[in-house]
Amino acid sequence: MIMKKQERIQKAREDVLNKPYEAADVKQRSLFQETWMRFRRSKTAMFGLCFLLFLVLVSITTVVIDVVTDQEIYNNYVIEQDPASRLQLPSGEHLLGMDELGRDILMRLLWGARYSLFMSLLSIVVALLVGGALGAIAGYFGGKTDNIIMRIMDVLLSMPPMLLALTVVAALGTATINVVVAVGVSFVPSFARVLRASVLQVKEQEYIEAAKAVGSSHFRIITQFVIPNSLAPIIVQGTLGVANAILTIASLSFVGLGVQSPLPEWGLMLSNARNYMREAWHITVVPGIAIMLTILSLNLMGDGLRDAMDPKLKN
Amino acid sequence: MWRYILKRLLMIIPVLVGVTFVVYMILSVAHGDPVQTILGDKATEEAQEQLRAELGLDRPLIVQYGNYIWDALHGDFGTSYKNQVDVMDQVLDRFPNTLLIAAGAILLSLVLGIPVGIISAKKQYSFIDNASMVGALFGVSMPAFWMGLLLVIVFSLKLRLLPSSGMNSESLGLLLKSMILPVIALSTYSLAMIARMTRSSMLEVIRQDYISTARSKGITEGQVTVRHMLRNALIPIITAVGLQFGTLVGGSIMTETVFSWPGIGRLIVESIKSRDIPMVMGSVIFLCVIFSMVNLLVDLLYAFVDPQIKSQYKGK
Repeated sequence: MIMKKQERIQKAREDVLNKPYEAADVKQRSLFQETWMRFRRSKTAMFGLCFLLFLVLVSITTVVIDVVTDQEIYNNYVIEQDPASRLQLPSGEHLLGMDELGRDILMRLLWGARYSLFMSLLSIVVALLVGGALGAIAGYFGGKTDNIIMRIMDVLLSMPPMLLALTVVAALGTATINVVVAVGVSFVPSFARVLRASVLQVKEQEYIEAAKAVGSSHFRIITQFVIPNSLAPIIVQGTLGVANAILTIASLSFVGLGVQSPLPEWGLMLSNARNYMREAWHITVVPGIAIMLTILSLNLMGDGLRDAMDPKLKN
Repeated sequence: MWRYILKRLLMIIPVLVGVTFVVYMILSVAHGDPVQTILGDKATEEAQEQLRAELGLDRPLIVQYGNYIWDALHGDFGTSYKNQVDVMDQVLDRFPNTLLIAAGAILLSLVLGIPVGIISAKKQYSFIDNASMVGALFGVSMPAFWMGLLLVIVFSLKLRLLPSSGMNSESLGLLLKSMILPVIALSTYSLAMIARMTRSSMLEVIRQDYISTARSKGITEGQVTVRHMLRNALIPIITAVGLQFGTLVGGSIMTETVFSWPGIGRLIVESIKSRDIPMVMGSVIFLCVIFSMVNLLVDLLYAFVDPQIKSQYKGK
């Protein structure tokens, strides 16, 4: 049947219009999936992630072992001293050697992972929630709100994080939870500042103006447009923050104001090792490598996340 | 712009009041009754009351704070609980030693960090770039105190080149020699951080159109680098440098502990351990004031490099 010319043109046009939709069949991916796809490509970032997952696994496993065996293994291998084998170098039997009191360093490292990991994560999550919210509000509203929030942040920022942490520890004493509080408080202002800065940049974009023009509420604009678009720097800062928190906690323990003996915290292990540096190098080197690898992994992951979240930043 | 500067100068006053208030409150509320610390448990009621009145501890906390600040402004931080020495004397005695290694560290990180960052950015993905960025990555991941311990093992115990601890001020040469290891340990993090920040900030501007424009004008590559790239990349770098001062304070506490350096950081740690609260308070407040002043200087620097601030305050 011969179609009219007009109809044929109409049909061809419809075919062309419909075709790209069918052919491409673009799968809708969430922001998370997109990020993960790009993150996966970076080998160094994946190394960081794997090492951290390994640490999480170690921490959980050792906690479970403690619960199941009623701390029997903990008491016998992590705390129990053996004067005969003190400062033994690494060997087949004790892969990383023995420490200054004759305790297996590998066991102490494994059992100590939980302190660095969980304490730092807890303090950073708290700091992120509080600091991030304050920073977003300050940056978005500007003016008086901004002034009040940021002046309070300035007060806290005028205290170097380590000093603030030390002050809190000096006041509260050296309990583990106090260290978490001290470290958490000390990170709030820097997160607020970072998020505020990126919100200030995002705020000027056209899409925010568009959202305002269609009558979105402040809450919606902040949570739907401003924060997601300001997220890249704060997540990078957050990952680095965990690294910093680990460092601060290890530092506090190192000077004797954090986790206390005989717990196998890594910074504390270094502090104890200090007096035996002349006799044995491995007790100083090994726990330090553990701290460094953890912080390194977090840094690698932070870099990977930054590149994955905002490909534009990856030059 | 002057208005911005004036505003910043005036803003420092409430910040200082806030900081001292926070420190005072944290330390005086939480540490309990100092009278018992001083007199011990066996002192009589009357003796306790008398000392309390003497120290002004029977008055409201806010009045105590006011008195403390008033005295501090007159150079009196009170006396140590532990050995009855004047806190201000101790602090002023120790601070220059800390300043010495902190200044050395920041100088080293600026002098090495910024050029390394620039070269890495300009030769992206070259061997130099990769090597220095791997180095920087280890630098930011390394605790200052561990770096210090490793330096001691290598340079003091194995090679026997440099002293492992203490500050030797007999002569300038010996002083510099005893400074080398602490300064390197303290600068590691800042140096690496500044190098990384410089690189990434430079990379953001390096492919901008105005760089091509600048090149097409026929000016030298050095001019392009300094006037067109570095100036536009400067603000994040200044922010990074400004943030380093906080890290330096923390780092110096650790470094001083490792090297038994007689600085203010070690004074704080020792005083916390012996529960010598006036000494802790005095040193912490002193360091916070110094730190605020440094922050102020960094902020003032923005007025000169950030065109946004310039235009915001234009004609005012």
